[in-house]
Amino acid sequence: MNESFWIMQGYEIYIWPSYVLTLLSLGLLFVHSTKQSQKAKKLLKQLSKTKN
Amino acid sequence: MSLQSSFIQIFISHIKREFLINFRSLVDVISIISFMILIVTLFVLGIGPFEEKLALISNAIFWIGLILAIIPSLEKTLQRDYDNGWLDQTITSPTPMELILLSKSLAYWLIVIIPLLISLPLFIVLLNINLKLIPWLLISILVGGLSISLIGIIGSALTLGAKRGNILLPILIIPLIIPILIFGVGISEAVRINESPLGNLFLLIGFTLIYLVISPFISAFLIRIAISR
Amino acid sequence: MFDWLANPNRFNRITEKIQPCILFITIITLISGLYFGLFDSPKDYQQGDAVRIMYVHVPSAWLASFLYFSLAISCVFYLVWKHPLADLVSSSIAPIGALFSALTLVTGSLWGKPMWGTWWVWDARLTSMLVLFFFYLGYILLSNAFERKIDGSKTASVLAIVGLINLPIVKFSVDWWHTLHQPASIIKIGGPSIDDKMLLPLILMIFALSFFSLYLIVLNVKTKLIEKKCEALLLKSNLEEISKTG
Repeated sequence: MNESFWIMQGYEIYIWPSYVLTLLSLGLLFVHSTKQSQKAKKLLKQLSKTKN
Repeated sequence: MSLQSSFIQIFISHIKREFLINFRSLVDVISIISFMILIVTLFVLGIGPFEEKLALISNAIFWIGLILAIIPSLEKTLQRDYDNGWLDQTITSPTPMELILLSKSLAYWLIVIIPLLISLPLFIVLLNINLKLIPWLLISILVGGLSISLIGIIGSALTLGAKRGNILLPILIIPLIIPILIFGVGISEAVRINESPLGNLFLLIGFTLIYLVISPFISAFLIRIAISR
Repeated sequence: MFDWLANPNRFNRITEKIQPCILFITIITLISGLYFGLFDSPKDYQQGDAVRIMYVHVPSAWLASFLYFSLAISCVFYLVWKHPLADLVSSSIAPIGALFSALTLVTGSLWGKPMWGTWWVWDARLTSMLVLFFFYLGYILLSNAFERKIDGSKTASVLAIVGLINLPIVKFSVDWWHTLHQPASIIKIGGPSIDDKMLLPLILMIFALSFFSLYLIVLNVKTKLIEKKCEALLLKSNLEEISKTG
């Protein structure tokens, strides 16, 4: 990966932010959803335990 | 035969009722006209008094003024009846809710159109609208105003009982109204540049017909949901 | 087929097995899509390297539209057939679709600046996408605007269906508006023709983002099912407490 790859003919300030923004926002959504899922599972475990 | 005529009688009586409730005084007429004039003034103040510029966008300013003047009072059309229990009563009456809603839409359309038609000469002067545009402007307002009312009733039914419904209603309605704006302005623009306005007019009429059919049913469905709370 | 999935336990069992596969496909298609998109595909003869933005812009646009369609269909299942999971699916789809429409707008802007010199162009596609964003926003706002969640779900579902009817009309009218005001469109965003070699990363990225969305939707539905169970358990234990002390 030489210089010209990163510079992308001078378009790099448009290309890289596009990709980074897309991947970052999707990544954040993924992390958020996973965290919510884990929180819910933990709550369910707690509630089921206290019931029994 | 008698059932048919009684339907029509009920229909007309409902329109009269809507009219009387919402149109009690000259104040209502004056408010709508004033609001539109003020919106137009804002646009012109923002853009500058340059005649050539205004000639290009006067159609758009007029339509946007119309839309912005109609939207704020849309919420009231159903909210009041919901709050005082009138909707609960009429749901159980033999008259189909769809018919009532159709009469509401038509009444609202008349309530908006009449001030507009009265003040049309004023706007022609203010925006320096070319005289040849006038018949087409009239037709487009009549048809477009009807679709805005029909969509407005749906929006009003959607936000019945919603929190902050008065801000929510415009956000929901405006994307749906976009085709009306595009075709409506398109009619006047076509005439202005000496092309046929019929394409835009037929599209606007088609759009209005679609909503003439679906709006009463969708709104009735929503009202039934709202009442069953 | 969807009735068969309605039972939450069956749904959980099936998705438990499918989820890892979906994630796997997502990762594979994403990595290969990025590789081909950024490295192993040709520069456009007009746009040069800037065409690479297409590999995130077009899949986002496609997905934003497709997800709205799915949202409306899911709402139909909810209102007409009262499918119990349909509402959970709808509310899971909405934020993802909204995000993709927003991404389409931003990447479109970033693509437009080097191509046409301005940060925003009111071309037909971007303008329609802006309206679609507001359709999504309306759905999300309306579904949260009521005291009881179920009221929000029902009204927002009607809105989504009305939106689906209106969406082709809006797209048509924006296209119409655009051709009225711009007689000759020079460079379409996407180029006059797409090289075959560009098709591969494009399709890979569409698959990647689609499977990613599918994974998230399944995950969110499961989470909501668990949350519902928790609510039910909490309600039960509260009632028991009250009946004990009362």
